[in-house]
Amino acid sequence: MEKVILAEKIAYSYNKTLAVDHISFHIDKGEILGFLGPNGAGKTTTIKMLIGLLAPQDGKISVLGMDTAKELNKIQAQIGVCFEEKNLYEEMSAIENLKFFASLFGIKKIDAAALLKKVNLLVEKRQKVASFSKGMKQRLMMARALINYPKVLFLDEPTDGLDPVSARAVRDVILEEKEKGATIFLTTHDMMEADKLSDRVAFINEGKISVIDTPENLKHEYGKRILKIRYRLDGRVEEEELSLEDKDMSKRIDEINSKHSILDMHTEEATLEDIFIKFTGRKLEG
Amino acid sequence: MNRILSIVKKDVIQIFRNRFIAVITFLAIFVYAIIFHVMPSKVEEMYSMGFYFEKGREAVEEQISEEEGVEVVWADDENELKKLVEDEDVQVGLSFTLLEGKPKIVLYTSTQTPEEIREAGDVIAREAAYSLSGYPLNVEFDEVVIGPDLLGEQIPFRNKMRILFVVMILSVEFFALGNLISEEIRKKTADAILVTPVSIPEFMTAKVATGIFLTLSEGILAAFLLNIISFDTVLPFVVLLFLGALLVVAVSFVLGTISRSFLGLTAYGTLFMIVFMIPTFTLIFPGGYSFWIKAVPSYHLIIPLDGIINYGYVLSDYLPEMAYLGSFNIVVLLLGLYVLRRRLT
Repeated sequence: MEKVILAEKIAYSYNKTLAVDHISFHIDKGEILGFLGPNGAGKTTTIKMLIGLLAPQDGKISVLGMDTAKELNKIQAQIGVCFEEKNLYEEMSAIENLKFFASLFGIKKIDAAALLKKVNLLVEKRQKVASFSKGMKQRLMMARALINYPKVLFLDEPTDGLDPVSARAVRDVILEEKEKGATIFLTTHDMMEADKLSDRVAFINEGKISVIDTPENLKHEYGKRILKIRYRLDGRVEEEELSLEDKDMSKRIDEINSKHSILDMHTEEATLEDIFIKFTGRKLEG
Repeated sequence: MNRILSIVKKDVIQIFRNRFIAVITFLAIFVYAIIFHVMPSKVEEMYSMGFYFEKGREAVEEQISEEEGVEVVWADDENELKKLVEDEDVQVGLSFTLLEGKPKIVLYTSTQTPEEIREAGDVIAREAAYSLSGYPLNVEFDEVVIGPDLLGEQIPFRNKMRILFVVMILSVEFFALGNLISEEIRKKTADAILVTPVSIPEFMTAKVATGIFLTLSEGILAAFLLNIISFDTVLPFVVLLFLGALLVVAVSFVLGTISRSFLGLTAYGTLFMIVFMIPTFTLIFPGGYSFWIKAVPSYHLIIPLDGIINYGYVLSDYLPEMAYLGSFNIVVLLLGLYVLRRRLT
């Protein structure tokens, strides 16, 4: 499998604080890698090194087989970036923003309307971005990231703080691009999003990657599948957790059922957040 | 090249869609143009004097009436002379009467009479007194003008003010370009540009080009409105304006990079604007300035502008000033580019 992004022992410090500590990973062609970590874990610094805004102080990065230190312009011509900050030109309209960025890629004729339609902004194409909601701006940022038909997409917290409709629209665009064969690097601290979108996830904390694997593997290997039962006991509601791997589980269910009145019972899988906490001792959000 | 032009085009759109910047830019140009055209276009070189002689008017009338640069009005009595001064028909009035056989001279001035006119009247009165008493001063007096004699073609005050207006119009660009750079950094739109094939040198070149284009355009528009451009002055004016534009761009780079908000930019920009304006007062109040003004770079723009526009000098007369300004521009521009590059990487 072609390694579209390859990071080898990359590191970056701000003054004396090591933000990214010699991490290595790769992303295969057409794959989505979810980069999970709490705020300040090193996600944005990593993405900045991958897209060329920061030069790694140690290690090496190659994107599409080219070294970022040597062929950055060629790489940047083939990537799309969606930033966490809504860095659009607010005094310009949606269509003006897209046309301006297309011109920077040397694209003279661009079907901006089709891109805006993709992110449900066609009606607002001539409105100034300043009048857009946060969700509309984020959708326009996604459209901007696609302006040069990129082979690789870097998405930094693309659904952070969005309403469910806008978040869904952004997720649909991500999956559509994956279908077309794009390779996607996605940073997020939303474990649900990472679970839904990513082929593999990497946990980053304090500048180091703790683990990289598929969400299924992680849940299977490190998670605990349980059955939760709630029943009434002397007028009180009691709750009990039973492991699905426990051979005596059905015996215990029968026992509860014979003695008490069962209110409800359901299975629960370990979440990525549970596994993240297990690895890092920290919660994902905040 | 196309990428640089795209950024310049975007920058110009962005600057003029900022209502505050657009308003202060064009308001400054048009308000100064209006002030210029409202101010007197000629210098009143005639000195109007009223005379009353109780006796012996015939003896001096011909001599006084032929005095160069003096408009003489004769009064038939002292009260009429006072009325002439009071109504400002004359700037000063001189009365020659006899008091108990002794000649008496009174100089009348109004509260509106400028100090220098009052002093000139005093000198004329004393000179007349010596003549009338039969003891003219035993001194030979010659007047020699070094440089072009501007008698009859004195530079109106508004023409001096034009230089002040041009420098003020250029200074407004501190806010426009400074704000443009500051916003690109604060709002991280520069990051969005720098992840496209646009390199940092291309980005910075575009900003320099935008600044020079805007400053030159506004300066040339102002020059037309302020009657600065003529066949003889167009080339030297554009050369000096280019140096001025470079100065503004260089300072704006530093201002835009160090300012963390529009308020900060306004504070720093106003400070620089005031400092840059100070040398223009040397034109309006000649002689009343300290040596340190020559260290202010705008002094080396203002002096050549004044010389070329108002006195017909040529660029080669100001090579040291242009060299100083050019060197200053290069140093500050390099500093501005350095700090901007540091903020972008």
